[in-house]
Amino acid sequence: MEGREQESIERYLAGELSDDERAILETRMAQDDNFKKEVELYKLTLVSLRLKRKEELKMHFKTRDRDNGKAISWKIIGLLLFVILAISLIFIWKNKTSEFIFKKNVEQKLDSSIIHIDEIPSKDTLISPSEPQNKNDNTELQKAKSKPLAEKSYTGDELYAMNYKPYKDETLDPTIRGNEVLSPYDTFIKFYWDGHYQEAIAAFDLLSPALQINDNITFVKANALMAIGNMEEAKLLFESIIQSNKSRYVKEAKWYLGLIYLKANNRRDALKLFHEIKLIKNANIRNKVNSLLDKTDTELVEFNQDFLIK
Amino acid sequence: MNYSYIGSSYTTSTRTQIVAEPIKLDGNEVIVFLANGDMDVLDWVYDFYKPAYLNWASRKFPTVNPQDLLDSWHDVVIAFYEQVSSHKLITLSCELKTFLFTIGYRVLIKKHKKMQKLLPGDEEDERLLNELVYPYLEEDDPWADQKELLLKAVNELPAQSKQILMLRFIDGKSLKDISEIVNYSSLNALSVTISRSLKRLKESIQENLELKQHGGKRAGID
Repeated sequence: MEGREQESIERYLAGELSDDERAILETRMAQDDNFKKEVELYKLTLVSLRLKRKEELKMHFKTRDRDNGKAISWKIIGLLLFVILAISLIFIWKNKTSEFIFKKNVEQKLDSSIIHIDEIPSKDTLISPSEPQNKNDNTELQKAKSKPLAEKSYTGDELYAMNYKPYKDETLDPTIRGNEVLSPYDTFIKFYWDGHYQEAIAAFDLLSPALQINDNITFVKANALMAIGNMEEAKLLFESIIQSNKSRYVKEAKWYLGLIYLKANNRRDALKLFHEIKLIKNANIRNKVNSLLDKTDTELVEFNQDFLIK
Repeated sequence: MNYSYIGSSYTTSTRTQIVAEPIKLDGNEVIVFLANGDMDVLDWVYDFYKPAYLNWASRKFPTVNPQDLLDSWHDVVIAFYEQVSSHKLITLSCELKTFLFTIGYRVLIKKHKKMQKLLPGDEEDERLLNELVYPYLEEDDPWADQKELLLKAVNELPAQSKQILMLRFIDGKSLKDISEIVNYSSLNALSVTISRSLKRLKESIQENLELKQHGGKRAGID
């Protein structure tokens, strides 16, 4: 094939022939079979190139789909990481806040008067009303509350005010007993429960002699006596209850007697009693004792050394 | 395919405008860019209409699996490109989206002939079937049987020969444009290379065809 023919075929394939040139080429194809076959083969080169381009485009789009998929995946992963980070930050922030609130509360609670004012040194306590107390005790309590935390040394009066609450448990609750006519015992208990301690003491005298020597009942009376500030008489009753060891309130009696010792600034006897209570397997009382002993830590160390030597 | 060399054949300013800003191009603008060899525009078409096409196709052909729908989208964009690059499609008389979806409809109908019976003959279907793109898509691939043979011949060419032939006969570049793209200082030398490469491809196809023909005859004798 001549160079000119080759060139015209190439231009034919490229669509660059003029109408006249194209007509000449097609006439030649119609007249010369060999030339026609040659041109048809050249047309196949064009077909092969188009097929190649098509194949390349398919590959290109598949790669594009995969890359877009990856990009979307990364976006999703990024979004998830962002959400996790945001949740973590919120969680940390909330923890910090609650820690701050907790610290604030703990700092407040370090003045354990607040803890103890909410607690009743008894088992199974259901009610914790703020009981009327004598003016003197309230004053001591206020003093204790306002005392700076750094000052760890409390007076006996302060410790007493911070820890004393008249004893109550559900067995004493008069509402459980219904509305029938009250017996002398019920009247005594009701007065005590309602915080009318003087009336309760008066009602005690109306009880039968058998009840008056019952240690469980004298324990309640001793509490009423403590509430009105008659420490001496209360002290005798608690000592008697502890000594006879027949009451179900022996441990509690030791607790209240310890508080009376504290108020009288008899720390040594108080700590001895508290230490005894501490050995009792009653978590409720033990916690209260521990809490109280925390405030007298120096004396406790001295006391413990002393006690252990003995 | 080396998109970069095809893309780089177009002016930088145009490329920057299309690629950097996600502007919506008119169908006829797309054809102009594409006819000038800007393959980035084809990518734009591919990405821009893909979600809507897949959504539409999945509703229209609910039993066809997503991969087949995606493959049909590949075929749609390639068919559109071929129409433009072969200068069969110069202007659009409808929206580009309609044109593409019509191609897609026919591609899917062709591939999933069973679907034809299941599809309700609503007005939209009728419209799609009668769109002006219909003539472009009627021809079956006459070279389907020789596809592998033809591709084998192209793949046997050296990379640069292949690139030059693509630029010359598929992308319709002038000798001057090609010389700039492939760094040929002499147009005569480039012309000779094109002629030699094309001749080599032709001879390779001829050999492969003869081999196939003889192999077939031999197989028939055996």
